[in-house]
Amino acid sequence: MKHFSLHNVKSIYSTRLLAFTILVVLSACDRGPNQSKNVSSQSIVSVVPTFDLSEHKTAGGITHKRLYASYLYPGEKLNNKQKLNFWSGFSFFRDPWVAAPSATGNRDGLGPLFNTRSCIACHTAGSRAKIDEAGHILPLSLVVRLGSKDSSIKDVDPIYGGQIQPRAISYRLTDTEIIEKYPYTDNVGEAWLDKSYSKIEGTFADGEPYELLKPNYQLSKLAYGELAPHIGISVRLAPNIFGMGLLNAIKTDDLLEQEDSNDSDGNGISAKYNRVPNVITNVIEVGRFGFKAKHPNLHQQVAAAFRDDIGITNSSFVNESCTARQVACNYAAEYGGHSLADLEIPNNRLDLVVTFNELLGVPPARKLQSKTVQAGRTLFYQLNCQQCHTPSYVTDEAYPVKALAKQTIWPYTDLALHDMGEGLADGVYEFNANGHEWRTAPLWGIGLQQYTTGQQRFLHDGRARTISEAILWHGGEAEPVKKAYVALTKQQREALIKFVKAI
Amino acid sequence: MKFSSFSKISAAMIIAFSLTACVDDGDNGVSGAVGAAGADGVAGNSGVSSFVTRDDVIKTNANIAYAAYSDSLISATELKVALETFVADPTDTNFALAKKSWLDSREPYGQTEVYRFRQGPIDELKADGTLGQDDAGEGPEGLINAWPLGEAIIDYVEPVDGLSGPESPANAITDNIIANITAYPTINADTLEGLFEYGEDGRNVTTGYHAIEFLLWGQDLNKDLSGTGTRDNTAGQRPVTDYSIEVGACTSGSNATTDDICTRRGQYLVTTAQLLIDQLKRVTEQWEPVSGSHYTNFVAGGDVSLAKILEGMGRLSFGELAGERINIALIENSQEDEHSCFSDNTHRDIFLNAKGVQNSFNAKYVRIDGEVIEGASIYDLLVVEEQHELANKLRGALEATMSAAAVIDTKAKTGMPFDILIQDGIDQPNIKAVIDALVAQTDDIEAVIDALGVTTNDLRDDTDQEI
Repeated sequence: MKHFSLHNVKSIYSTRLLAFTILVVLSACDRGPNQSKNVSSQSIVSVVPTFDLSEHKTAGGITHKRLYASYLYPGEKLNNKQKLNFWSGFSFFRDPWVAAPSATGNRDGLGPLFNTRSCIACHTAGSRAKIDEAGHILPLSLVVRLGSKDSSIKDVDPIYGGQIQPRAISYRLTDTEIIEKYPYTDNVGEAWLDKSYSKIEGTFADGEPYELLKPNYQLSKLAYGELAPHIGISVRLAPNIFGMGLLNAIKTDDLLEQEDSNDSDGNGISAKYNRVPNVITNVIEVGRFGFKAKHPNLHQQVAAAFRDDIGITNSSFVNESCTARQVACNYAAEYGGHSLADLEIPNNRLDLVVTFNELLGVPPARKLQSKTVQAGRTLFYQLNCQQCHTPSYVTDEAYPVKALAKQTIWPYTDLALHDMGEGLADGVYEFNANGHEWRTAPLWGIGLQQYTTGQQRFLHDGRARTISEAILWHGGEAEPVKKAYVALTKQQREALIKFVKAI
Repeated sequence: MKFSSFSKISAAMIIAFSLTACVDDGDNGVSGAVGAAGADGVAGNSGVSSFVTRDDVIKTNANIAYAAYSDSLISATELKVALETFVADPTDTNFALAKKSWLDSREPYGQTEVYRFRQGPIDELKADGTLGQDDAGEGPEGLINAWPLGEAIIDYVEPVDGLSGPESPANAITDNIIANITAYPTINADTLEGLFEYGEDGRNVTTGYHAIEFLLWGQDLNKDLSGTGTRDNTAGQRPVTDYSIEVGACTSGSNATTDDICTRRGQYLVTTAQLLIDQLKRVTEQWEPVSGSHYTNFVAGGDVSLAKILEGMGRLSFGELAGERINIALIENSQEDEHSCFSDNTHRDIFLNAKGVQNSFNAKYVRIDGEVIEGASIYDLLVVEEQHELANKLRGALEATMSAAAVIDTKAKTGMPFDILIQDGIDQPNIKAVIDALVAQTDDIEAVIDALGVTTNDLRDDTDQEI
């Protein structure tokens, strides 16, 4: 349930609604259901909930026992058997996969095409790996997705598929009959990425200047010819992976309760949920995972990453990421000796890795009750950040992993798609998500990235170097909130950011 | 422990001498620093000096780190000599000595692993000599001790269980370094270092203890070399002819081969040993008392350093040893998930890792030459800080783990190595006993962290200071 649900009278938390402080603040949105849509800049009412002690334990019982130097620790309240499974799954998350055939049959099957060899290579410390520098690069932490720019053609690229895999295991076609019909003899990585930044300058209302880096991307050295005309590229930096079990455990109803695709409440925010296929059941479900909420559950997200990023087939994604037109790739897959009946990662091991992801804890909040952080917290609500960054939920009490059930969690996301404006747009569709839409990112734990990985990068492609820059990139539905942020004093801005870093 | 070069009597004498020395310097608590009454008139507490401080414990921990890494470096240097002797004169005797030398080199190294998972040099030493996260997010550890490694990239492997054979031999391209003379004409440090990050992946390592292990033992394919059926108590059986220097006698499994392949295999072996030495040297220098930069920072680190000691102990006990190194192998019944799968030395890895945790608690380490390094321990500290019961509880838990690990060790030494033990299924009691004991000791380590009030970070600090 949504923690702040007004509808759920059974929630022990709803009693706290009585204690909410009502503040009258200047803010651009949240006009309330009875107000006309074209009233946009008047004094409106915003509700700042009183501080709740559960905010310290961001993820309920799955919160880390203490602050670790890495996100890769299990939640505190898990039992020893669960923790043992967590660490067992972790080894498959960390260890590199090798090309088949090999003597290490449990860890072979890499490729034929792949982005990287291990999960941890891109999810350093459970977070985001060092972002690839600008230049002519063979991308590692950046993934290039391919999607349709045209709403009438939903197909991915006929040659490259849905993702550029820049690396490949070596394999050369030797059969002259095939070579005669097929222009490429080698199984090679699909493309390089040319990345550059242009600067965008701006000024806060108090006169302080800021500078944003706008990335420009272009594929180069396309190994199998040009992309199809309807295909566009969407570049993403590997996301944080902690706390995903709890996002998986939020009741779908608690998400859909927030849906407002047509903005019928007239607050300028149109929470829309992606509708995506569950690849096992073929049922269309609410998407939750991925930057555009492409996958309906954690298991599918992990299974897809195995296949698309490392080239490890599994029961959810049984085919290698070779398209029919990548002949050498298909032969290389056969050479690896893994057939459909012999998936590269069998279910028991895949399940261990999913379990690892599911039980991965979230850092506790830091210094949450300091004056500045509390001031920032007030601003967070006054600016209406919580309209999309839904602060809290109580997870499904029927969730099969009991430790994750009925937990009060503070992820700060509605998991819904929102139009984020032209500045962030990638122009490509992913199921119902259009080229301007992105899923609201969870905010818990993001303030520790610098500490855990030596780098902090935000937004889908890591373009924002600070949380302030990330806010400044908000556009579209979030434009009024961004404007309200720009209007804050320096002290207020810093307080808000301290709050985001503390949660 | 390795007392091979000493009689039991001389080893016992050394220990006895060391204990005598302790009485003299007042560490046993019977005498204080200036006599039985102690400087402030307080005699020892329950046999522990009242003067043990947190800084003392931290310093001893650092001194033991230096001793254990030094021993690893010394034994790796000896290993390289043995490998050179073998490659120059590949007799059965020299082959056996080379393997013995590898096994010996694992004894001190296994006890250093408790220095992992604490942001120390082994995990975070960068190329420029500073500590921190490098691009691949890891330090020398992978280059030293990566496993399982993709041995197929190093040398020939036999297709096992019919799973991993190429569909068509005509299509097989040779990716292994030793066989691929065209791509890697010279086997030397540059070649192997260049391959450290083969395929732009810092984790794709082709070096370290387990690369040497593979080159000495080869795959563990059972006595009949079938690689199928019930596992037996043989380790890998790489033939000595894989290193033959006689014309026309070189072997490479079932592959046709030429004499220069054996030469290249020998070069690989010696080169990897040198790279192992280089990496161990880097880590050892960081821990060098007084001059080592990590040593200096660590002993000055106060409670943060104490937290690192304890958190490292807990992380190795639970996540790494109980979880990844034992539980995975058990639930998968998988030979490649055993730590030293070629040599069947996994029982020692388990024992020595656990021993390292106990060393950290007792602040005592027996060097490979028999010298005992000891000093103020966490046990002492807990007693001084009035945590007698917890001190005793964790001491007992660590001893229980060691006795459970000793059972695995004994079974292996009497014909039932780890890979056979795990074959008995997930209810294998001897293995489960080690896991359970490690889990129990981790709970006690956590309790000690709480009791001493140390963590690497203070979450409750109500200031605006950035973390």
